[in-house]
Amino acid sequence: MRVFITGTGMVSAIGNDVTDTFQSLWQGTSGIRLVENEGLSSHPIMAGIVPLENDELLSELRIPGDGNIPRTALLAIKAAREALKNDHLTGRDLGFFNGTTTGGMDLTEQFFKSYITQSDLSGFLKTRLHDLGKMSFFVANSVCTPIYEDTLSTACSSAANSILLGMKYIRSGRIDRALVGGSDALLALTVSGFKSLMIYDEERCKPFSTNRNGLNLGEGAAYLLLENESSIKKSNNTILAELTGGWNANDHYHATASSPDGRGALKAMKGALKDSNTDPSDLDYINAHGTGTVNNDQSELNALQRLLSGIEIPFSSTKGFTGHTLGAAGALEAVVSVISIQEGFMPANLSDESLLDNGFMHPIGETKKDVLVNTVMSNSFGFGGNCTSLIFKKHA
Amino acid sequence: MRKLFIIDSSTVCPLKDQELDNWLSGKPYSISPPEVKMPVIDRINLRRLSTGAKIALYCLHECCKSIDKQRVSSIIMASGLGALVDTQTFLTSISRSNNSLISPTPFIQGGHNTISGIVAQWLQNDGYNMTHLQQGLSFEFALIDASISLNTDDEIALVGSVDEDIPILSEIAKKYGWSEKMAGQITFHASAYALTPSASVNNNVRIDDVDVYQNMPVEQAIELFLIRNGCSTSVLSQIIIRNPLKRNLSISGMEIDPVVGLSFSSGALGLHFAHRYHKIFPKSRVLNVNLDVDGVGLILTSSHGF
Repeated sequence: MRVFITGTGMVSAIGNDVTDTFQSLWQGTSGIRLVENEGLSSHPIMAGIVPLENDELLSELRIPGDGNIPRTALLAIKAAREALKNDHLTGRDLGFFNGTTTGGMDLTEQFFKSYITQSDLSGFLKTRLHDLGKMSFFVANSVCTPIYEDTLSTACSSAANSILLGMKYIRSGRIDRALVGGSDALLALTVSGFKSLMIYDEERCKPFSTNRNGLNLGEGAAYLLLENESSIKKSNNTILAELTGGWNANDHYHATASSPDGRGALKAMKGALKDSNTDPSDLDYINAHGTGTVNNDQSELNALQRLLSGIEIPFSSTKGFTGHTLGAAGALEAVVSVISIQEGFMPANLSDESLLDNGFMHPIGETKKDVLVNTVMSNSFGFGGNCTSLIFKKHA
Repeated sequence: MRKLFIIDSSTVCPLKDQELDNWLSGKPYSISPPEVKMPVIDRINLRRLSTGAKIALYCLHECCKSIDKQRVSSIIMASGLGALVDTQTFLTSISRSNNSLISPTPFIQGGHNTISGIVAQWLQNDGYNMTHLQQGLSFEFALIDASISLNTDDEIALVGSVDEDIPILSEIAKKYGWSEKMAGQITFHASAYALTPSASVNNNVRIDDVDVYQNMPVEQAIELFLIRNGCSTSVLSQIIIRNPLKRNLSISGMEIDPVVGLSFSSGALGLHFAHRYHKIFPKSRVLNVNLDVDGVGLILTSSHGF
């Protein structure tokens, strides 16, 4: 059964919607900047922040209630509504599959600080949407009329897995259409966590550079509307691209580090290509995971080298634009892949001049414009050895 | 739905298997606080792991005793609230760090997919690896995932569920209006299942169907689910019900909450209870009704040959 993409929505440091995102990618403008926010970190950090405050989002999205809506949910609702804005079935009869790692943690952090320092439980309403499932349920019912709402949390591959699961549900015949993607806001917990692992670059991150020294976190949300042919007959929605395959595999090497040879990444990429009935040489562009950490980028490059064995395929990491948005990253990069197919371009690998060179593998130095992009592979790898690859194709 | 057969199941809960069999048979039974049983893993990891991780790994290890580990193609975990102990530890570290170095261990272990990742590493398994978090319905979603992820009859899915307890949970529950008694019933649970699409002499309990209904009245969901499986409540041998919020229901059955306590993973225990029930009553059909805040999960099981 074929699965088509008929809607996209995205908010991140490089744009409040898909159009803004395309402009930033086309122009090579990064959204990563120096952020001074005591709530996130005692020292300024380089990060990809969405330039909208919570009260601006609440006002724009017109969400009723007491205001105790986590930022992760606000970003999700904004992007999900954009993905559904042209849906002629107005978000009916959907499976909603959401990837996130933080859920309502931004408000829980505020509550917990009072609790731990003053044993103060008065802010307990901030925990109302703490857990990932409750937050996803709230998001789903704020944007559509869902049949299923399920949440996946597999670290940095969460959103890629929600896309994969949506595809599997449609292929299994359980549903005809799904809204899939992910959302994560920037938090003190994640900033402190990656700093404690000593993999947070104090400067702008440099994916696939010999000088790379870690990642910069970002925040954002992105969603895609998936439909099978039966649903499109009813919706008459315009097809933007096709999701032709995907695969999840495990690296089974270490809790946080990737195996040196990238065995999990290789299995995910091979599985996705097989699932898509696509030969590696048919790929036009690879949107790499490319976090900018010493370990990840070399591991991914080694896996790519083993997969492609001499075939030169342009690739880039777009985390130099958005920062690493963790549970949302796979969805942001899926939307970037779709834009790349639609607009005929390949985004640059924003980094520095000293790009890693494995002989035939070279990250894209400058945005490639006016090129034919028929087939894209998007990689998302996470802690716990979780590796997912997705294949997107131009609709013929 | 592709039918699945239960090769083995294991739980950590207040009803040990012999007492569980007594309860299911209508005989006198006793309950005891769930034990933190230790999985067989290296001591360094064991020392670092939280209660939730230990009991989940214990159950998964138990299920792996009777299977060919090379056949495991999917490891799928479910949890309502994830790794609460480690998350609380890390949040406390941040709050008190005063810019000093903090240990990354609770941050790493606080990841929601920590357990599925540990199992993959332990089994050296490169297969499908997933973690669902949809409150009390996570387990049913994990089962659906298993049913659409197993590609051949040879394959095995390890499906587990775990939730742990921290003291602040019951404090917050009381703030949300829970009675002292209800809040005091919050506890920890884990369960795990080895599932396969093919029947054999060793696995004679079949999962006929599983589904989740999140925007529909419970009675309507049950009726739709049973009709599509060609049955009705009158032909069911038993109904096992998780109903933590004590909603009024038109059906009756064995309510698990009073005997096992409350957690988002208590519903997953119901499948183990059904597994034991089918062993006691070989020609039987059981419906699991898992009533959660935002929906209901339904699992229909049969003794093979029913």
